[in-house]
Amino acid sequence: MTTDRDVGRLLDRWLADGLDQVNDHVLDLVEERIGLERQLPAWRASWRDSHVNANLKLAVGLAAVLIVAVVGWNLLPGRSPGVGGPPTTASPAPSPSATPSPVPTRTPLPCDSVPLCAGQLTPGDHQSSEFSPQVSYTVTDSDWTNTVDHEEVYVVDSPRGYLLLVAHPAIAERTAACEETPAAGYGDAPSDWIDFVTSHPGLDATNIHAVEIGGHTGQSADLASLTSWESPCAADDFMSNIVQFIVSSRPSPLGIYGVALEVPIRLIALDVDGQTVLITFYANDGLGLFDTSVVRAQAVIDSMRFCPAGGTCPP
Amino acid sequence: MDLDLVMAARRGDEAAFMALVRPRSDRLFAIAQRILRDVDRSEDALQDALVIAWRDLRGLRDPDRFDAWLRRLIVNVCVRHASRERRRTARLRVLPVDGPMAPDAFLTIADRDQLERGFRRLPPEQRAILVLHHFLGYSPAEIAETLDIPPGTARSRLHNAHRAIRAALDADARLSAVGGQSA
Repeated sequence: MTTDRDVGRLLDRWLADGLDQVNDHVLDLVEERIGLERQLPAWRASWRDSHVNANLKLAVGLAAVLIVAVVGWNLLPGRSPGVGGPPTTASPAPSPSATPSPVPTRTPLPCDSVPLCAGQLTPGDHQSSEFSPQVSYTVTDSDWTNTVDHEEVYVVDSPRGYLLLVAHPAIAERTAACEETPAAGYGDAPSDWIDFVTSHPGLDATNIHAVEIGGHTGQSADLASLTSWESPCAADDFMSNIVQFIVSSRPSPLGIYGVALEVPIRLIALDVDGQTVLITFYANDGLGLFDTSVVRAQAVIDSMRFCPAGGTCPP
Repeated sequence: MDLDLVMAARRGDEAAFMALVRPRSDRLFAIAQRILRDVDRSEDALQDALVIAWRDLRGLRDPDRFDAWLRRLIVNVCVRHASRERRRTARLRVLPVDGPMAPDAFLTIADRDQLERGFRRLPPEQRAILVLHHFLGYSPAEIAETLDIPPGTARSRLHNAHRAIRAALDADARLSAVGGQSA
């Protein structure tokens, strides 16, 4: 009979033996693969199971159960969505971590953050199912992927960068107490967004102009953060150079968003029948290729048509 | 800790990321090799863990925790790989160990063979816990932190893992005694 102490001693010795050096070719392959794999923004990466604690997993799991319960409730015969039942706001749900392919190709990120999305998009017309106001749009490339379709947030991803739509955006300021508070003196109209970004000491706003998308008017600006910017929150550490100011005014998985060094964005604040919808494009390529990647993103933006919740988008 | 490298890697600097992980890769590989008991699979697991680390680095809130986070990633990836492999090879005979058989008077060839078979019978989670405890020298509290489980759970799982490998070794010894073929 083997005793506990015997087993422990055997394991100590046995596990001490074995290979301790990795072959160089493994790191070469890693280098090759990360060149093809773009980094997730913090708010998406932080939902993955490698970072969330057990309590959060439990909470998120319960949220997923709630969604199923709500959907089931509302699908009962004679029930109309959202009437008499629990709130129908979708919540983030857990998802399996995508395991990268062993070959150096870009890992697709289908629906890895919230339960609903269309996944890989074929060239042609597409529309949101949850995002409100419903948006329809056209993609001509085959490498676009819808990764988030939430009532408040919609994301279309590509190797060149991703489009982020926020249904009820709010302008926030990071405080020294490391909290987000509504930016004083600003509302949520498109002009407020432009006023905020043009006067922010950490942002360089260029290419500011009026836009019309699907018959809705708005303002567009290209934003880069300045190296001189330091977050007032000392605990931000490696995020201290990021100008964080985009939040959702309603429950959503968005968190806070902003502009990081070397990651310029295009920001469009659109007035959709009195509701501001924020459209941002984050280029993966950094400053060097922003101009080229934003052109293809802008083509998708220009094809967007918005229609009210419950309505049908025009063709 | 290479905080500057972590921060640069978070901003998308691939060279900084490689400079960060290169000196850590041998240790991570060693952990993977102990859990998976297979060189090729350990290399695959290391690759996957490092690519996931690159992809998710911006979600790491505390850069001081980079090393612990990386170890957690490699353990989680190994458990996933081992789970897949376990399903695939459940009915196959166990292959010999891939690592070199360093001479150790304390462990006979028979001991190693028995340990190898017993260890491979364990669920991947129990293998990982034994490696964290007996190879990295982690206490149950450190195991709990690495695997993101309560300390009490870590202690009970470590106890269960010990009990499981002891049972596997005893079963193997009984099989050997009657000339049975294990695994």
